[in-house]
Amino acid sequence: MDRLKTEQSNPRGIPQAKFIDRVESLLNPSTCTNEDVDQLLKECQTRLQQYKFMEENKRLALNGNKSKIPNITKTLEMVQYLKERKEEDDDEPLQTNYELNETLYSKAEIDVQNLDNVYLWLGADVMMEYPLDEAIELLTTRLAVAKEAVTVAEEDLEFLREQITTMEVNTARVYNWDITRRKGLAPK
Amino acid sequence: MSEGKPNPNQELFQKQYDEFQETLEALNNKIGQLQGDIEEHNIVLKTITTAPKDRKCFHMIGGVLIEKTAGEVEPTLKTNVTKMNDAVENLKNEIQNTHKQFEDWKKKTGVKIVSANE
Amino acid sequence: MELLPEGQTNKTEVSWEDQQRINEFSKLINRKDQFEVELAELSHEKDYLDDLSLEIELLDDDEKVNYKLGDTFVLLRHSSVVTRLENDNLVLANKMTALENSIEVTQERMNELKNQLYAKFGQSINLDR
Repeated sequence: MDRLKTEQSNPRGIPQAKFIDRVESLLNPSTCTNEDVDQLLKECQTRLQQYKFMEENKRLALNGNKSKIPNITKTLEMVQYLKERKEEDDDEPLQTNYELNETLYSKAEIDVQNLDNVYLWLGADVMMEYPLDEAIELLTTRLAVAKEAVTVAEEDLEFLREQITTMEVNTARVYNWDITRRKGLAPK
Repeated sequence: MSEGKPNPNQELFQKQYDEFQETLEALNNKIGQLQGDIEEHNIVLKTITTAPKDRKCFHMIGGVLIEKTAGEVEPTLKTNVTKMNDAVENLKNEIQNTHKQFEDWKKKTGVKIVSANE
Repeated sequence: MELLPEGQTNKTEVSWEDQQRINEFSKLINRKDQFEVELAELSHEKDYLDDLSLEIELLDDDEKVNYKLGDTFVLLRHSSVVTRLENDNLVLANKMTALENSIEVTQERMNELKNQLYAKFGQSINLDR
């Protein structure tokens, strides 16, 4: 029996934290022991740490995807330009200055008219040849996937923040309630 | 942190505790890394398998790009994934062993962990 | 910024609705901060673009310009570069307007929540920095 979650969860299945609006619903002030209260506080702590752990993981995933986006965008821009330039049917070769090393650029001429394929780095030490159109398609899809992943991760992070706040408030309320209870029990 | 029985042992116990934590952290990090690589390999595998087998494909081996075909690179990647999965299993076992060693050490020395850090 | 009312010193009970408002407020403040950071970055970019547009006009029309495409510089005709820069400027301006709108909308909702929460909790809650 998990008394700290509601029936609901977010689209990715993260459980919603139950807000303890009356501590009496979980602990009977006249019959509960100090151990019962400690048990509840421990449950809150554990749940809080689980949420925080999830938050950390989501943040890592988010940063990973976020960093992919500029790379894919740049590659896509270049490939789209190559296609455009090819369609212009201009005999002039494309002149570029590309980065050989930091602050060191080298000249290159690209014969765009005879260019049909590009090589794309896929990761895992693999690079594959793609005809221009297929390359554009692949990159566009990848970009959309990464952007979607960023949106989802941001949503999840916001949701987790809310649940963390709720659990922190729960902990504070139980703790304060317990102080009041103990004052009532303490011999004067 | 941890409390030793006689004071001079406290430093030693602290050191041993830290070592256990470091080992566990290093193992977990390695697992995370491997899992990330496995993910990446799977994504690339998906992409490669949708391309025709004779598509030019380059594999970087030891910093050198070797020209192959998609059909040739696919099995290599699959083997890598299997190897990495095995490595992850081994590391997970290592972690279990380390945890057991940690528990045994705690029992033997009578050390009690005061912070909720475990 | 403290959002937790002190359970001992005030008699007002925090209900589930109150908690949701507090949670929403926290969420919105984070969002707004995020938007403002992005807006500042875009604003920076815009300054660069504006400077650039001025510089470009000083160049000869038949001189080729190194335009950065991805991580590589491509030598393009002067007219092409001018067109591209105009486009970049437009895209940037639109992004900035969209962000400014988002910030405004978020701020409005935050003000609404502030009113509701201060009305109920008064001094026991602090929603300002």
